[in-house]
Amino acid sequence: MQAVHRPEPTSFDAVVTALARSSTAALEASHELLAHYNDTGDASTQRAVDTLIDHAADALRALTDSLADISSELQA
Amino acid sequence: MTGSLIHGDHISCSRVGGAMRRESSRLHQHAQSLVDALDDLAAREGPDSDTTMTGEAAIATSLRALRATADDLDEAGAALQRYATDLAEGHELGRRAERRVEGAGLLLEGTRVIEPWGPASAQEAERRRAQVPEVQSRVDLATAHVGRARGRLEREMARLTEAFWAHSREAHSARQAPLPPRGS
Repeated sequence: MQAVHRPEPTSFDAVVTALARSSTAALEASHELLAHYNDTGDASTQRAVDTLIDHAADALRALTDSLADISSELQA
Repeated sequence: MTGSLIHGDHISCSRVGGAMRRESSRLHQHAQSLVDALDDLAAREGPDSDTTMTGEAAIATSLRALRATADDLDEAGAALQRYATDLAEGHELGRRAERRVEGAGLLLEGTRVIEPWGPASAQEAERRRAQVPEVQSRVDLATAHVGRARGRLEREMARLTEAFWAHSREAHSARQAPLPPRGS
């Protein structure tokens, strides 16, 4: 009978935990970005900054989801 | 008149820039913890282990997107902090220009220096008129300083917005990639 090789639990769990923590950090970062008021003093510049913040928050939420999904699937 | 020539709040810009850089640093720390955990797992499992490779592609894609997002957050924060410094300097230049306008007995109409309406002696009117070019140049110095800073910031924000959009797509692609079964 062929031996089934499984990862060493502690090391594997550390990866799963690191993925989950990175996911949480990405979510918290997205909230932090959106929580701040800023006034550049110019409508066009303000739109550029607001658009950047929206896209940065989107990227962080996408990372939140992907890291959480990978963590969950590895645990399953 | 103080504060009417140059608009914007440099403190709020500096704060949001600082928040971006702090979050960037935190994300880098988490990315490094993940790398350390993966390295530790690889070292324990050995180079021939297929279980070590479980989900590797998805993890690598997410890790790459995480680091790139953190890098660009730091760049965006630095750009906002530079803008905050430029805006603060612009406010100071603006205040000096406004004091000069007032001292010369002139008025500001938007960013244009004008002579006031109303009765004035010919000598007084001539004195004011003679000062307009020099006073206008001070106003222009303040507005040009802030205008250049805004142009730089807008270009940086546009470039980094594209980058964040790409990181979103990369993160989504990692999420959609199926993970092989553990231990298979």
